[in-house]
Amino acid sequence: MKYLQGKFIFGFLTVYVRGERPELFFKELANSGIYTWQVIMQNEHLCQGNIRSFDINFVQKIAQDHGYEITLGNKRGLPYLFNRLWRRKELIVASLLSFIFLVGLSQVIWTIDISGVSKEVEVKINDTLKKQGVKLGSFKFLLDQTSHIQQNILQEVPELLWIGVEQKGTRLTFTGIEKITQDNIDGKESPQHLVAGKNGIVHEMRITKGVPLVSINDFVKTGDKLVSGNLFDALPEERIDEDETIKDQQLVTAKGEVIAKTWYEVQVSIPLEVNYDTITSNHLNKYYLSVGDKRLLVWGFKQPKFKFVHIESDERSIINFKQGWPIIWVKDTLHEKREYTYKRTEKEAKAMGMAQAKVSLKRQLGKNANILSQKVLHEATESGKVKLNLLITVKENIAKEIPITQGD
Amino acid sequence: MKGEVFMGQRKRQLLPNLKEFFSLSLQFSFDLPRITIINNNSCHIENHFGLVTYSTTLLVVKGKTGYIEITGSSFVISMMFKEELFLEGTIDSIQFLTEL
Repeated sequence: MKYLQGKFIFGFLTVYVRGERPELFFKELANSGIYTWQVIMQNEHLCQGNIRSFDINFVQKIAQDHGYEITLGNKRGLPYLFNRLWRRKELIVASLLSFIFLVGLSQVIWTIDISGVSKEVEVKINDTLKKQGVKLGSFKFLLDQTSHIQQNILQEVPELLWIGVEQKGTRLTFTGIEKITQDNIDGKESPQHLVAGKNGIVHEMRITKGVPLVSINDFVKTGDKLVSGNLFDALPEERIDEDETIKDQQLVTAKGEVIAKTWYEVQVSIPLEVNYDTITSNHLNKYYLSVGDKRLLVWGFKQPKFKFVHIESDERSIINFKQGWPIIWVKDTLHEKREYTYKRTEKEAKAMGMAQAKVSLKRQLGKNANILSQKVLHEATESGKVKLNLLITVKENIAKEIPITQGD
Repeated sequence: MKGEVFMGQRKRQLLPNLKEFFSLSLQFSFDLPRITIINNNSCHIENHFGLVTYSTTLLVVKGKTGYIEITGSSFVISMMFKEELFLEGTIDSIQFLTEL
């Protein structure tokens, strides 16, 4: 039986033998080691049997030698199947093309959805997307990573508080949240006081509404009322007592700026020795196809000659299966990395620490804060670090709005 | 194919000696024809020395010492190798003949 294994793969055919005692032809075949099967005598002068297709030449030779007339027919097996298919090349081309189109077209962005924002912001988002090359019909693998797109939109469109970018197949979905400005909410102003948000010495007051309760050069503590929203606070007490008709409250929205000097104690520590890396322009690209955690290197067989390598991976899924088993196209960019160590003197470290403290404080307080002076309270060098205790004097608006709750 | 032939020769040389050495029974004679029949519709002949006659009602093969004649109807040789033969069809009788 084992002799006939793989007959379908190599192909087989039926041979019809005509002549005197055709069964002896099959005997000859068997004697020369050719396998035959399904040998049937049709009549006395005709016998049929199956042979493997690579024995044909030999069979024909034996038939010639012994004077038999043979006809070949009923070809079966893969080689004949392929032959038949090969004769219909258009079928192969069509199926190949359809596969290429299917994969190719699935790599194109076909829909861009923008939701959660007003019309004008939507137009703005669309414009920035176009500038970035994200539009209908652009190829997925030419696009930036979604996180980059997200950052770019947030930078270009200041009206947006947040935007979510999601790529699902050929669909790119943006979900935005717009910033709600103060004027949008405050249709009607509610009465409020201004109180001190921080300890400080009042330096300048610009009140547009309300009754100021402090004056310049007063020291105020956190929570002290600076500007009252109750206009009756401006009247001397005797008048309220005299006039019965005046109720004890006349409320307005206190508004204004109270600029005060405030102090901050800041601690910074600066290392004396710094390691940092830079990336040079030398880089190599490597492309992988990965399934699960297996990776197959497709292109980029060169090995980098760099001493230090920084790898940046960009992963894109080509085909998504339902249960999250994606074939991922991975592009690794290997950058040459250089490591530097830099040593500073204590003097440099101190200067740097002070500058750093200034910058970080300014960032924390906002644009309107003004740093007046900086003093070193304490300085120490400890285990390779310079530690500084700084006192920073700042001029800033300390007014904090507090709504007046009217008892029900 | 050549490998098979070669193996056959080796077998023929080696096995009788082995048989003698181990004093085995006739069952292990590899050069005598061996016929296996399943019911009356399938027959397997090993170690024959060639096909002599074949038609839909008659099959004669050469054995070592004589001829084996199988009669019946609607015979089909479902597989045929050099020393091995599968016959399918309705088998009526098997006869061992010394001469044709």
